Amino acid sequence: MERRDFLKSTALAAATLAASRLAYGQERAAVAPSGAERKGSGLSWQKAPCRFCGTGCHVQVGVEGGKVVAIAGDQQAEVNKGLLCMKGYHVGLALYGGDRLTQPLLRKGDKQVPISWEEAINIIARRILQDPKGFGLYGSGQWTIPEGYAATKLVKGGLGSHQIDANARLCMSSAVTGFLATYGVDEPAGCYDDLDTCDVLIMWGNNPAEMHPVLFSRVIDRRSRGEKVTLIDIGTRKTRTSTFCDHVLRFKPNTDLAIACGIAHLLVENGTWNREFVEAHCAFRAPSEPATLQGKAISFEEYRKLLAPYTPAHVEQLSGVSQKDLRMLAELFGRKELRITSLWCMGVNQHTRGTAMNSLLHGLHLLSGHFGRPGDAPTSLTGQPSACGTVREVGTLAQALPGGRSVTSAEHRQQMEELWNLPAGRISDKIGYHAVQMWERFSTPKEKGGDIHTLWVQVTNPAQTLPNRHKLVDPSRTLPDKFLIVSDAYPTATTRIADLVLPSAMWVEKNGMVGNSERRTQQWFKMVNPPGQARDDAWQLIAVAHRLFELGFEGMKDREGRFLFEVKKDGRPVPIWDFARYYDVNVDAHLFEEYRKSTRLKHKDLAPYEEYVKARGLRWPVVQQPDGSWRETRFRFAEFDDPYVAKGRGIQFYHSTSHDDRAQIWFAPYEPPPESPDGEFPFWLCTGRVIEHWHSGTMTMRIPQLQHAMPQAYVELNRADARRLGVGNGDQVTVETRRGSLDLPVWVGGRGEPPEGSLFVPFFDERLLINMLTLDEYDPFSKQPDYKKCAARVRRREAREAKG
Amino acid sequence: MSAPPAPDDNEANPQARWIQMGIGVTVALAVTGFFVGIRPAPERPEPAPAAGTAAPAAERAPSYRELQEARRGANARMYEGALEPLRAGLDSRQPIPVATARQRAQAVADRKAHRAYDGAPPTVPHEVDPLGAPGCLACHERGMKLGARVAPRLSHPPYPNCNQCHAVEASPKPLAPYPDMPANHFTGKASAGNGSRAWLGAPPAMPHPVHMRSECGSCHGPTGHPGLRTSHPERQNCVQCHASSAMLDQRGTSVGLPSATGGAP
Amino acid sequence: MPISSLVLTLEGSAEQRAAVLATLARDTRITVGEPQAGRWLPVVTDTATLEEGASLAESLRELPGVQLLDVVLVDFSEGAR
Repeated sequence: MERRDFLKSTALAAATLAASRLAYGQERAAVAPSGAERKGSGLSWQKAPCRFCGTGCHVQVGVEGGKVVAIAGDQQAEVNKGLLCMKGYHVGLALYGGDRLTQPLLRKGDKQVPISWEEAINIIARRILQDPKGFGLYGSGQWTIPEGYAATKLVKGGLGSHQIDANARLCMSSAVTGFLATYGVDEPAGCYDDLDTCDVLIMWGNNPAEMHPVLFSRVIDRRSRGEKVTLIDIGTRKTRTSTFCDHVLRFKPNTDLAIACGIAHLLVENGTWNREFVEAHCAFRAPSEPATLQGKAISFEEYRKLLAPYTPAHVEQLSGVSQKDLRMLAELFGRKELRITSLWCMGVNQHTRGTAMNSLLHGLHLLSGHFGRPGDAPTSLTGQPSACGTVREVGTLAQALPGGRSVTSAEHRQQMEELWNLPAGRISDKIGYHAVQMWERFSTPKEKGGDIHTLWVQVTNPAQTLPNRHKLVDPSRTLPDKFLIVSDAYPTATTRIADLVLPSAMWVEKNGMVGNSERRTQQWFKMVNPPGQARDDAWQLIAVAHRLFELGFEGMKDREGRFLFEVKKDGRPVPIWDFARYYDVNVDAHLFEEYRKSTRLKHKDLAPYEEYVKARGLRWPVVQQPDGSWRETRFRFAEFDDPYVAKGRGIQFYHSTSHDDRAQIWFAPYEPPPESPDGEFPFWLCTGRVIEHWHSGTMTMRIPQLQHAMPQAYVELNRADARRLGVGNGDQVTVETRRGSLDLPVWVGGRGEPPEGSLFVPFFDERLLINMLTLDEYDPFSKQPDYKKCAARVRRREAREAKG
Repeated sequence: MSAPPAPDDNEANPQARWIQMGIGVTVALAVTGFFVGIRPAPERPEPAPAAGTAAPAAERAPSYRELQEARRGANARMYEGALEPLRAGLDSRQPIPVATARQRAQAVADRKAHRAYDGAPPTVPHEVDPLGAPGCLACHERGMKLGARVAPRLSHPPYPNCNQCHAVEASPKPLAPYPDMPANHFTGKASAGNGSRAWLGAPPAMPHPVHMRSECGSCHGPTGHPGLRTSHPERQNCVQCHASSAMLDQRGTSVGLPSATGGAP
Repeated sequence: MPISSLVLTLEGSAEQRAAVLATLARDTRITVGEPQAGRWLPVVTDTATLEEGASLAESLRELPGVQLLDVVLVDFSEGAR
């Protein structure tokens, strides 16, 4: 039979050769069919959102022979309209780094040795059973929506605790508290369409030319088409974005609050605020004693009085921004015919006053009435592909429940117990630890209150990205009863110190859904198999849950004693905890359909799974129309587009904290930062990203094209400082803070240019961990740490010392 | 023909011609260097300016146009017209011989060296200004030729933020190349090779996507790689005869549906 | 049992080509290769006897939608047994 098959295939080859000779003529006869002709059987294209940032571009993934071989910008995607950035064009290479993790590894002594999945799942289940409430799950804004939902259900519905938090705490939580304090509900009212119509784009501590390049191009390409857009960069350092801007305003770190108050002061004093809009739709708030996220209501007169100190002269003195530029900003905000969009991201969020600064930015747009028309929008950008979709909407945070619910609300807990079919009282009313606390407790001995004994990390690299690692991470590695589990695709700074390492499938090696910065929920299908024994993160969670269920753990049973994650096909449960059977059903679709039911409460309605299969993402609320179709919403709270605004209201903030459909215009004072440069540590130290690399570089440092273009971390110095220190390009210097020190090469006149007295160091390089030096002070409401400013000093390393 | 004969005719005075050429090349190098930013980053910071000038609190970044406009004095116009000679010969309309199979293979190999896969944005084989609004268009907007080196004309409409998509190939100075990079086993889609022909002698269909790319002359024009050049540059409307592929250009239907991706039954 | 390699040149319309492909797919004696440039279809036939192979080839030539049939090679060795 084999011989026959061989003969047949030989005969077919001969026929194909002859056919190709007929088709292409003599010249091509000997050439194997090339890509263009193989398209029918070989290369196939499918949509997927890009794996990297929060922009949410769609790519077309070319798969051939079970491997990703090409990437193209998706022309049908509204976000990117066929364009990508250098990370997106190379995203396919992220799967094929030579050192992918392919089997579970258990620490034995100072080695990590291969074990079976069976054994790994047992170890985790035993650690949980030992003390379920001391088990923590530390996830990510790169979790897919179904992954985050499974994790939430496992911890909040199954273990009866709220010991789950995510790395988005480090990047987005101040944006969340800002939205809650202002509108009573999270996430932007506007969307990327604003970028197509705004007359003025103000970027607050933001460098979209490198961090959200596709969105930035969407604006500057309008100039190429002859449109006029005024770009304003308000930042602490000169970046690629600055070079495209009409106005570059440089401020002293932390004084962005003074600038915002200064603009509000001018609007009020000049009478150029939008009285009509404010009287119809807004109220005023100020910080209360004791401080709460709701603050206290104040009158316009009180608001005006609180702003009184923020005269142009005073703000100039505080911030370094000239009175002329402050008046220019106030004049722009005062012109009602202009469309103004503000963008911000980590500069405003990674800030010990992040909640206040977010609220002030919303307040400026509300006070001036630059809200609710296309092009008039305060828009907070996210860093991660599903910081919004997973962490904020599903609510994988210590204080949250799915669909915008809160742990402290009895009603919300009861609703989730109903949805999950749990016995009453299963969901705890005690808020869990936020990220910094969680790691602090994990790094503290049990007898001293360190009640987190086991921490499971998924899709993130905290040993590189948490601030002040000496304090938050390293102590746990010497304590006997602390156990660190890490799921990742590649070896990282975190897997290297882990007790148990689990190999994960990534991106198009699994089904997935994510949600981007403009409320757009996106879906993709698995296209290729993961390498070796790497498996889906959601499967890992469900397998552990089922092992607990098998061991009789009550938390994994619902009211009828059924498994919490039971999935049925044709009326019979499918053993999805067996990885060989995991894709017998679409687990993602099942988890999503269940989660979807929780999204109506806060009017974040999601459509059925199938709708996302057809679309390049849909922006919530997605509301079913009388004809059965599903319609997305581009502009929230505005009657012309948002179906939840009552007819005739124009604008309606229907989740208002004051329950009167009004948004809150906040006053928040400028306060000095917790650590400022002094005689001993005279420099400001700022950290951040570069266009080539995504976060901690786990993926992008394994992509040759990106890694060659930006191979290592560096310290950016101002020329004058370099001169004073007697150092030049490539010289090694030691950067020191009160928490640690790091040797880095100097780059003057490089990617960015900090003003005198400032340093910038990117955080992607795992060999040069700048977060050994950063400050772990955080915002009082959002608990988000400030990575953007602390005091540092720079010392030149002698040649001899540098060699040793 | 209409230009009056120059008093020192080049034919008659080879020495003068060499000097002119030398000047031309020097100017050209300076201009290219200025625009592409190949001047090395200063090894040492520049000498201090006069003391007492505190750094302004807020500054406005000048645009390239402003920098050009700001150039005053005797040398203000020194580069004017300097780029023109470098563009000479770029718009040849003369038919050239059909490429050989070997030239084509060489062209495909050379393209591969600067791309992760066929269709990826090519990497930049020279240094660029790491910060500024990139000056790519100075050379690449219309294309340029300097000796054997060619700055190909953009194949797509100009986008101002060039380095959004195009990564530099070599680590920018002073950063050290990464010493022990883990291997990457990605095998990118290879070049599709020749386009398919309906019959011998028919115009080949395009074997690559044309999304964003409208300027065929970038690769197929007279300054293109010998293996890729068209034999008939005098014909300008390429898409009249050469069909693009709906499949490669994502003009197919229902790309997101799994049933549509398994290949037609 | 002889194995033969053939090339069918298909005619214009997509419907006609689809009809040909459907006919070929129904016949278990026929293995169809990848169409070249959409028109030239490599085919392998596997028949009990040489005679049957010849008549199958003739029937393919008569099929509506098939313009030409080229016989590339016929496997005599096994048929001779």
